[in-house]
Amino acid sequence: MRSMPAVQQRGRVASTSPWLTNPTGQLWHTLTSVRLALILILLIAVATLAGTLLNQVPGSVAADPAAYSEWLHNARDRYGAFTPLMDRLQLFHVFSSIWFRALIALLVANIVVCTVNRWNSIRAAVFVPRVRMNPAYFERARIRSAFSVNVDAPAAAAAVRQGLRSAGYRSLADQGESVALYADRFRFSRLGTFLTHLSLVLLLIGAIMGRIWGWKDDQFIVAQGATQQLPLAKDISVKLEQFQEEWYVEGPPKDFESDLVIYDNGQEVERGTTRVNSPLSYHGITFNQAFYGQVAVIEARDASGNVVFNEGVPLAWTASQGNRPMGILDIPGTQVKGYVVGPEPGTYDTAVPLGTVRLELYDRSTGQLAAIESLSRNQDVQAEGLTFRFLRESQFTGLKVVKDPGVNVVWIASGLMVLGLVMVFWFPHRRLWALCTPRADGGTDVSLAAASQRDLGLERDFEQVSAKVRRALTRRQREEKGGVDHV
Amino acid sequence: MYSLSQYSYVASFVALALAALAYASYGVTRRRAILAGFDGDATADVGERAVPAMPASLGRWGTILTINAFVFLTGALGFRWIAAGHGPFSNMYEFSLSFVWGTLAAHLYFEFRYGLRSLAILVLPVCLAMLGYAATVSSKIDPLVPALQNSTLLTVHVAVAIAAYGAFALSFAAAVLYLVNRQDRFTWLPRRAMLDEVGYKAVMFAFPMMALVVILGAVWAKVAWGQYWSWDPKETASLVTWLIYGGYLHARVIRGWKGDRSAYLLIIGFGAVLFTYFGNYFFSGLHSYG
Repeated sequence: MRSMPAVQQRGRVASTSPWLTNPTGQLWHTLTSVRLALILILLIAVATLAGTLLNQVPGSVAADPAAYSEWLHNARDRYGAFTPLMDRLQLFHVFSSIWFRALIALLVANIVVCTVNRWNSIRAAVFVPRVRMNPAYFERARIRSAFSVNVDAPAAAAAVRQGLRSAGYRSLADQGESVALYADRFRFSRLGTFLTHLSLVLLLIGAIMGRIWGWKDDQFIVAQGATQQLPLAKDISVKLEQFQEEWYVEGPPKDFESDLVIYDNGQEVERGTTRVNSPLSYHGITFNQAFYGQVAVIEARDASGNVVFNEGVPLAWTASQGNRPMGILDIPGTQVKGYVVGPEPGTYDTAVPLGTVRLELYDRSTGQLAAIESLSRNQDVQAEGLTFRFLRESQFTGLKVVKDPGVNVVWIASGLMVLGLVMVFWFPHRRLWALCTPRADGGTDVSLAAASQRDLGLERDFEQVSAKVRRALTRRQREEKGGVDHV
Repeated sequence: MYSLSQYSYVASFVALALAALAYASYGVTRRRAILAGFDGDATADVGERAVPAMPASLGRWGTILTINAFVFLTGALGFRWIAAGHGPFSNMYEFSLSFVWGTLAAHLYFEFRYGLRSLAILVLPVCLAMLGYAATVSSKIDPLVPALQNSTLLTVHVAVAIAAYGAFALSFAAAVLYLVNRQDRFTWLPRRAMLDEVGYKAVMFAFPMMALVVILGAVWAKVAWGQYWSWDPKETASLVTWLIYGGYLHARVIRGWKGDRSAYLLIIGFGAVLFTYFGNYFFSGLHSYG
C-alpha cells in the first residue's frame, strides 16, 4: 500500500511535458532527430523556392527607405492587397529575413548535435567493429551462404580470409572454439557523413565571414581616361585606360575588355585587362567586367572664361521616360546640378537627336527645373551663368568590385562536401561476417552473412565474395588432401 | 559537320520513337503472357521475372533501338562539338540533346546492370518529349557570348549537370512505377523493392554530382560575375533541387517516410530538375542563355 503514492507520482510526472521537467535534455533529444532535419531541409527548400518565384528587392534598393517604398508601390501591381502582408513577412527579401536565418541556424544546431550524437556509434563501426556474431544471425540474415569443408576451423578461416582479401575486403578474426570473422571495405566511408555535414557548417562560416569583413560595389563606374576612388576602400583608385567592345558579325557580343590601372595610396600596384571571364584582382579585391556605356565629355566655363568643369559624364542610368541613358552633372562651387541625357538607343529619337545630348539643370537650393538645353558637338550654349560645350563622346566601364575574405573558406567547405558525398554514396561501407564452426568429423561448417538492409550493391558484392571464398576453400581442401595423399 | 549532326539527331529521334513502341508492346505482351499463366522463374536475381519468347524479343528490339538512338545522339552531339568548336552545352537545343543523352546513358546502365527493361515505359517518353522540345527551339550554332567563354567550366559544369539530370530522370521513372505497382499487383512490372532500390541507387550516383554542379556554378559565378552566390534564380533553383534530394536521402532512414513518401519526394525532385532546367521561361536572371 505504501507504494501507491509513488506510482501516482510517477503517473503525474509522465503526463507533464518533458520540455518542463528536463528542458535541456529534451532540446538535445529533439535536435538529434533526423525527422527534424528532414522537416528543416524541406522548409528551407520551400523558402528558397519562394525566394525564386517572388520578386526580391535588390540590395541597393532595400538600403534606401525611399527607394524601397517606391519599389513596394510598384510591387502592388503584381501582388495587390497582399503586398503589405508579404512585406511584413519579409517575403520580398527571403534570404535576409529573420525566419530564413532562424531556419538555417536551427539546421546548423541540428547538424552539430546529430554529429556529436552519432560520433560514438560510427567510431565504433569504423574502428572497433563487432567481430563475433551469434550462430542465429547466420541463419536469419537476408543475405547468406554456407559451405561445408573437410579441413579444420583455423584452416577454413584462413582460406575464407584469403578469399575476402582477394575480393578487396579486410578481415578481423576472433579465435575461439569456432573462428568468427568480420570483413569490410570502404570503412572510412562512414566518416564521409561527418565531412559532408560539417562542411555545411563551414560553408556558412565562410559566408558569414564574407558578410562581416567583405563588401561589394555592384556599380563602380570609371570613364575612359578617368581615375576613380573606390567608395568602400578609399586608399584604392582605379583608372580606365581604355574600354573595348567586340561584336560577332552575326550580332551577339564577343568580348568586353577594360584596361585598368590600380593605385594604392597613389602608387601604381596593378595593371591589366579585365574581361568577363577573367577578372583583375588586387589584395583580395576582385574587379569584374559587369557593364559599360556611353560617356558625354562636357566642358563648362564661367563668365570670365575659366574652365570650371571638364569631365566625362557617364550616362549610366536610364531616364524614367523614354528609356534614354542619363548621367548626373554636378559642378561644385556653382548653382549647377542636373542631368545629361543621351539619345534613346536603337530608335530615331527626335527629342534628343543622335550626336547631341540634352542638359537638364535644376536649381541647387530650390530643386526647381531651371533650364533644358540641347547641346550639339562643339557648340557653346549659355545656361545658368555658365557656357557649356559637348566636346565628344566616349565610353565608361562598369565594374563589380568585391572583397570577400570568406571565399577560400567556402571553397574548402565545397571541396570537403564533395569529398564527403563521394565517400558516402560512391564508396559505401560494406560489411559481412563469417563463422567457421568445427564439426564432429573434423570438418568445418562455414557460414557467411551480410548486414540485412537492402543494398543491391552489397548483394552483388556478396555473390562475388562468396564465389571467391568458395574457390579459396576448395583450393585449401585440395591442398590438404594432396598433403594426406603424399603421406 | 552541322548537317551530319542534324541528320544524327533525326535518326536518333526515329530510333527512340521505335524503341518506345517496342518497349510498350513488350510491356503489353508480357502482361498478357503473365495473365495467361506463364510462370517465370521467380527466383531469378534480375529485376524482372523471366518471360516467354514473344515479349522477350520485343524487349530486345527495344534495347537494340535504344542503343541505336544513343549512338546517333552521341553522333549528333559529337559532330556539333566539332562544328561549334566547344562543348554542345551553350543553348537550350544543345542542353536538351545532352539531357536526353544523359538519361539514355543512365537507362542503359540500369537495364544492363539490373535487367530492368520496364523503366523504359516512362523514361523513353520523357526523352522523346525532350527531343521533341529540341525541335521547337533554334538549332543554330551561335557564337559564345562573353559570359560563356570559359571552355573548361562550360564543359565540366554542364557535363556533370547532364549526368546528374539523367540519373534523376531514371529515379523519377522508378518512383512513378513504385507508386503504380502497389502491393506488387502488376506482375509485369519490376517488384516494388527493386524499384525503390533503383530510385535510391540513381540518387546515390547523382546527389554528389548535383552538389558538384552547384559548386562549379559558384566557382564560375565568382570568376565571371565576381560573387560565388547571388541568389540568381537558376542557382537558387538548382539549390532547391539539391535540397529536395537531400531531403529524400534523409527520408529513407525515417520510419513513416520510407516507401510512398520517399517516392513522392523523388517525383517532386524531378519536378525541381525540370524547373531548374526550363528556369529561363519562368524568371529572368544572370543565367539568360539557358
